[in-house]
Amino acid sequence: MSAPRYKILVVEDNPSDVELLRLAFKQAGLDCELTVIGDGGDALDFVRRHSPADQPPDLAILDLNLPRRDGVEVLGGLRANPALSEVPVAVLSSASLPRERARVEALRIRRYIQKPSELDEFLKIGGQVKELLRQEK
Amino acid sequence: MRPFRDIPIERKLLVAILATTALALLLSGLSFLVLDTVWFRQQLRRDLSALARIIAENSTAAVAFDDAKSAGETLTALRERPHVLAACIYRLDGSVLASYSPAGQTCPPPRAFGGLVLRGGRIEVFQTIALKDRPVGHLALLYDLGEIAERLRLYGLLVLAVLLISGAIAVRSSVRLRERIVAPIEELARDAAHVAETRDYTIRARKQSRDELGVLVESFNAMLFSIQSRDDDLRKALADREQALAQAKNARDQLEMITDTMASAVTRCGRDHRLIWASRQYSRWLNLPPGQIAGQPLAGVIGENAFAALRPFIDRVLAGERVEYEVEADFKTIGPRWIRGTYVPTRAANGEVDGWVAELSDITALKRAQADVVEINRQLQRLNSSLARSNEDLERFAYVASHDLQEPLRIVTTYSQLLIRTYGRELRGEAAAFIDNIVDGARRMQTLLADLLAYTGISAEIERPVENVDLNAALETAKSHLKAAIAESGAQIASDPLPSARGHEGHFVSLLQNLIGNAIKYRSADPPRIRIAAGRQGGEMRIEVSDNGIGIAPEYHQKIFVPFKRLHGRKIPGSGIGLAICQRVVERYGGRIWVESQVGAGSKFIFTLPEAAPPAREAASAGEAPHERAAL
Repeated sequence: MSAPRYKILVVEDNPSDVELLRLAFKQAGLDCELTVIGDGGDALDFVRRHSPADQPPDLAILDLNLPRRDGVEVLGGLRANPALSEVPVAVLSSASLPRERARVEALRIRRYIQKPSELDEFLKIGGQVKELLRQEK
Repeated sequence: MRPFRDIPIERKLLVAILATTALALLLSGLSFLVLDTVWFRQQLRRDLSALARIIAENSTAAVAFDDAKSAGETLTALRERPHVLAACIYRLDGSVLASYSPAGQTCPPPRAFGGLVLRGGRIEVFQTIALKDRPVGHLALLYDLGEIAERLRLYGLLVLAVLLISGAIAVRSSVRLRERIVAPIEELARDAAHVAETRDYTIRARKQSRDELGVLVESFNAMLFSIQSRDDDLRKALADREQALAQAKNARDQLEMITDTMASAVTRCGRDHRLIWASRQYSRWLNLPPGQIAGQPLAGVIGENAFAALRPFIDRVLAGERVEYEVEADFKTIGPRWIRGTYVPTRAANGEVDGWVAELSDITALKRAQADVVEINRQLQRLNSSLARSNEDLERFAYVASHDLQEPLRIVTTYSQLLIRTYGRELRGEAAAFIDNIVDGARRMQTLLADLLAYTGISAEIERPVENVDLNAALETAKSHLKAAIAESGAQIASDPLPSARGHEGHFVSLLQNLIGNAIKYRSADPPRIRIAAGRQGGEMRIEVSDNGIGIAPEYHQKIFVPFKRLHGRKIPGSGIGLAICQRVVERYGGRIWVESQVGAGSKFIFTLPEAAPPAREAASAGEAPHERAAL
């Protein structure tokens, strides 16, 4: 397989959704390596400790509802780290409250994906992410 | 005997007439008598002298010849004179030659000289008898003056008779005079007495002549007239005064009647802080007999404590200010009371404040009730805010719950689908159908939760600032959301140009979307024709969404706005919260929503919204009528 291997940071506390994402990527034929962090606090630590020596991820997929620290804080930490500030971010969130949604839309993000409740819709996310990564290259 | 001035005029007149007549007659009679006597005497003297001379001459020869006989004859001629008592002729030697004495009178001694001598009621006349101027003898005549006395007696009798006659005439004329003078005077006197007795000043004396009595009667009548008019004036003044008194009493009675019916007590006080007047209500309130109030110092009536509490207001009203107050004061007779008072200064004619009128109400019960009300209000407010808080908490909970519950439900749905997708062929019997039911149920629950979220979200998002929303844009968004349903039903949607409204765009989208969605959902056999009309009414925007659908029976016109109330079964999908959302949106922005509909005649949903304040520059150029802007 000559397709580039993508590194994707997934900050998502729900393993079920992580499984669905893997399935979606697999079905979309996306060759990727996922770094999954299931806790807002850990994710914030991760993005702060990330050094320029480490290879930055090609994409960060953030859930908003996270234990300890929420996705917006994680995003703030990511943007604050020069080594990561250019990483494209997609927010993958459940049907969010309008207030949160307004908060997120004010941030510089690539895409806001609402977690669909239909399986087929969810699986389409694989194709959308693949398209996004191709644009970034 | 009564003095002359006190006897009746009638007698006075009589006396005056009699006295005057008698005096006049006496005087005239006397003067006649005197005159006559004097004149008679002279006459007699002359007569007797002449007689003496004649007898002397006639007897000259007899004397010269000393012839007694012829001398005697000469003397006999005196027989004609009855009053000659005696006549004697003397010789020169004084012896009597002849004498004539019818009454036996002796001759007096002769005298050598002639002349008359009055002696003892008789006149003695002596005459010398001369022959050729040579005296030859003397003659003496004695004449009885009884003639004069007889004349005098006759005169006296005449005078007496005249006196008697004139007296009788005087009495008669006094009787007539009485009729002419005294009777009118008596009548006048009677009239006067009657007037004095009866005080009837309308009586008028009868005028019987034009003399002084007539003048007197006229004067009397004029006097009566003036007294009558003065009496009338007096009576009128008295009547006026009585009327004024009656009016004053009436006014006082009315004042008391009015103040008696008043709930509040009324008093009037003077500058000296003394009560001048107090309504019965006041004495009743203070538990004092009414008589013990007027004229008393206020401090004495209500007590020093209460007076001290009222003193500041008294000082202010006496400075000319109208004072209204509420104060708690400790009254001597009834203890501490809350009173509400109005003091109004009263002014003397010179404009200076001479006291005040007070209107007083005992508001103790009111104050107590007020305090209770304040306390109850406080409790209510506490309750209300805790209720509002719990209501808010509940809504927030419902909002968050409906949001958070969607997550696990989504996992149920997607994984159920994944199960069928992955292992569908390996499932046997009804397993796949069961899993489909799970998915179906989870989906419906998701819809419910989504609607619940939308419903609770309307008021949950209160902190977001409102903005002017172009309802035309909101309508377009709503239509785009309903694109599939519109296309499928062939619905035709016509709309007036819509105004702007204050709020959140999402809410208005959801409002219009629900109304249009319902119009499509509850359509009749015909393709839906939906009309959106906009207008103004009473400073509000009025928007109507009418359709040609199946309509709603009037008994459901209220119910349809209650959350989760559905009129139809599963055939028509829906959570039953759409119209509740519509109502919530409209009411949140200060409007109303209702429906006009009949079964089979389509429905018309009408909602009102306050007009959005137009941006300043639009308002300036649009030139709206000022009252329309004022209505905002």
